[in-house]
Amino acid sequence: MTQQISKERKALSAGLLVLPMLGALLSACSQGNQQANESGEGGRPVITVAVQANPNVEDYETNHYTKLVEDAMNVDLKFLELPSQADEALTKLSLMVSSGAELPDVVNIYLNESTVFDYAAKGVFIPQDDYLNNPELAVNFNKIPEKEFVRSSMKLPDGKVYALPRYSPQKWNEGSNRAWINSEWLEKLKLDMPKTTDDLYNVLKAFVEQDPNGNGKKDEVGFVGSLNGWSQNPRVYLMNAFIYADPGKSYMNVKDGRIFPAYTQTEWKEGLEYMNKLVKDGLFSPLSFTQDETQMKALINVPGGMAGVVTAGSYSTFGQELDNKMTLLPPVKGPSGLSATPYSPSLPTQLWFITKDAKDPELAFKVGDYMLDPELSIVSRYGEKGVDWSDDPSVVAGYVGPFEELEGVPAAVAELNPSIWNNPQNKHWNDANPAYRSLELGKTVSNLKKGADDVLPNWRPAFEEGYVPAFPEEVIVKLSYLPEELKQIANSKTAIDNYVNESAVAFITGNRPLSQWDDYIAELNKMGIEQYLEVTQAAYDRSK
Amino acid sequence: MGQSKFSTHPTSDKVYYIISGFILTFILIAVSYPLIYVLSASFSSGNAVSSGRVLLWPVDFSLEGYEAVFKNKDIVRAYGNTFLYTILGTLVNVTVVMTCAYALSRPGLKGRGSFMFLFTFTMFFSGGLIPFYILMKDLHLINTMWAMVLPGALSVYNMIIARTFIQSSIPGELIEATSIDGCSDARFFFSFVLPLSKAVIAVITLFSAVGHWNAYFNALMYLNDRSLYPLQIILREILIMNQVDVSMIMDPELQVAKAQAAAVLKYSLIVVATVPILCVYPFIQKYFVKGVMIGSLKG
Repeated sequence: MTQQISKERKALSAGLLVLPMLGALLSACSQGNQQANESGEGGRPVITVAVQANPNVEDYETNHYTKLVEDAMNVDLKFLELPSQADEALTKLSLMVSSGAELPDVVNIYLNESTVFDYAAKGVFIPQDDYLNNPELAVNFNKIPEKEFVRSSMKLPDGKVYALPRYSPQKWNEGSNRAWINSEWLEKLKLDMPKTTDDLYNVLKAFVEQDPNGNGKKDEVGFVGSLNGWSQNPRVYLMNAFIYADPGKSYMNVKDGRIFPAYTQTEWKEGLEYMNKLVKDGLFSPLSFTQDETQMKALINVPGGMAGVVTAGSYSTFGQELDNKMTLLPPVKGPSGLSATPYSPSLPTQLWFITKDAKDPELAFKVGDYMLDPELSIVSRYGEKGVDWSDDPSVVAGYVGPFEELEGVPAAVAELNPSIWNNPQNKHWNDANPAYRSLELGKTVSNLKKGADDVLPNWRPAFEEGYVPAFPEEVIVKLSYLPEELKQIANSKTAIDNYVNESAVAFITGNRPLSQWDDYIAELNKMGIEQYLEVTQAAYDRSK
Repeated sequence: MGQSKFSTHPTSDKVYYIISGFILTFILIAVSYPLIYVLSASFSSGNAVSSGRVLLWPVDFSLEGYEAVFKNKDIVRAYGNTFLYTILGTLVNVTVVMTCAYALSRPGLKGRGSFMFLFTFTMFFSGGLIPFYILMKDLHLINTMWAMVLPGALSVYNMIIARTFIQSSIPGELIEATSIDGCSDARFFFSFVLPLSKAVIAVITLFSAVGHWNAYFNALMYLNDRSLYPLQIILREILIMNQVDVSMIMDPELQVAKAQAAAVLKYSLIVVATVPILCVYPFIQKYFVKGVMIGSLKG
């Protein structure tokens, strides 16, 4: 073959092929090795932090919160951004670990406990107990009044602590299985708030039969919830009038230190009988067991209202059509006089894991500890002091505390710019960092200007009055299983939990007669509930 | 087909036209409804979407979804990045695929069978994520734009389509004829093969452009710098941000309130992310239909 290619052609084809290779080479040379430089701006030591990308945080490098931390601790923070979705961030992190890439000094993302324990066991994360025990290093941690509780609830099954806490307890989120009743209908039909399960039955009957929405059709739904919304499972509210039932703990109860399941007790059966009666008489919508949150919202948010009682964690479930007509319905009393509501004490979120590749782990710890400073913790949630929030008495005087009417607690911090949350901003890391905000602080932060109309009614005081007293004395705070325990119960736990839920729905809807209760208990025993309970008891004893 | 003409057709044809017309109309509606719904929902209010009141036309016309999308400062830069990766990546893909396909289409190539075997082997077997990550790390491609352009530069599937097309549509006699006139292999490739393969080039361009436009897994894994992120990542972030994930929650009450916005946002994001690439399609479509047919029928 004779070579007679025109010069341009040759150059073009060769160029096309060489270009990417050249680019790859160039980029390899020009890639500043981020991990290796020991001193950053102004000779400050560098700490690399892996964070999750967040569209509401404009730029971690230039962020106001970052600057505060850098200046106070005299460090230069550099960031490695992981994907914003939890499981993708985890995939990327595990890729970095398994490929032997150099890890950042600190991993500051949400991880579930089994992942943390896995990395702790592999030595990827280092224990922080020695630093926490040193009062000169753990300055702000030691100022936390609940530090014993915080520390013990962060302990992994090996008894060590590998993280720093973000702890901001809020009663509202500790008991979220709330029910809401249509107060307009109550007034219309001249009914009182139901106090007991029998009252509730009568009220629902009136709702369904007397056409309170006034459209001339008997289309009202009595009691309704959904399958997947936040605390929208309607069975939980009703069951708690018979026996304490917390789905968050797989319905495991504790009495005098002994663990037992709620769903094998006779009271559970009574609860199912009551709900079955409601369904049979058309007062409890079986849609609750099949519809998702969107479908439920579509059902209840119609002018004039459609549902009498709705179970939902958040008031934002109700649209403008209902015009703030739904009122918080405190837990009703069952035949035995019990009225309870599931209580999950706020637990600290674990953040700020120091890795084995940290060049100066002690300094990394000190930086994390500094983030527990009370004022910085307000910054990490409410923004810049004096701009987005203020504790200047002359400013705060214009605000009403959310609990002022109920408890006489005046406002202490005024939110000047409430929209800083959930919008792109460059003031904080969206609270994805160690922080400590006390329960008291939560009660004194206010965005309610005196004399202004509220957009949404403030339900927190009513919740403290109606729901908080129904929290039980003795609850399981947290169950942390060891990896081998998890292996033991892996199959039985899932199967049992599913079976319990399916059976409950079947009993309630009448697809399965309650005369088969004994078969149900026998089936549970066959599934290995004994062993499951033993393991749970061991986990509970360990985490006490 | 005019009305006057229609009446002259035999009855059996009329029946056939009427029935097929109905069926095709039904299929058209079934296919276009989701598209219209997405567009309408993106211009509706969050409340209307989340309570299921949007059926065909926008309800409570609002731009809140688009506002939420474009409130984000990274969108414009990410758009630019996506265009860059798409254009560059497609260029590399087409170059590599066409040169490789041409060489393998020539029966005279020594070891053609073993080359083909090597290529097809990679279609079914790969080293997996971790070895690939280590490879990327050792090539220093991590956190550079090349991580978005180079991996998968040769799509074996596209290469086989192109090879089949060249084999079936360009006769071997043409090569003999031109080489008698002193035409070299390279000259033949540029002056004959490429102009005659417009259809298949269009198809491969479209395939790889859409692939690069939608690529996001590589960006997730190999980019650590926000300034390099393509559009898909930013859009995904915005969407996830506004979804409620109860297991990871700091303040569920705040999160649930956001879920309403997410309902609309989802549709606005779909529109923002797909409109540019949809605009490309009509220009290529005529080749697209022809190209794949020829490649597959005669292969």
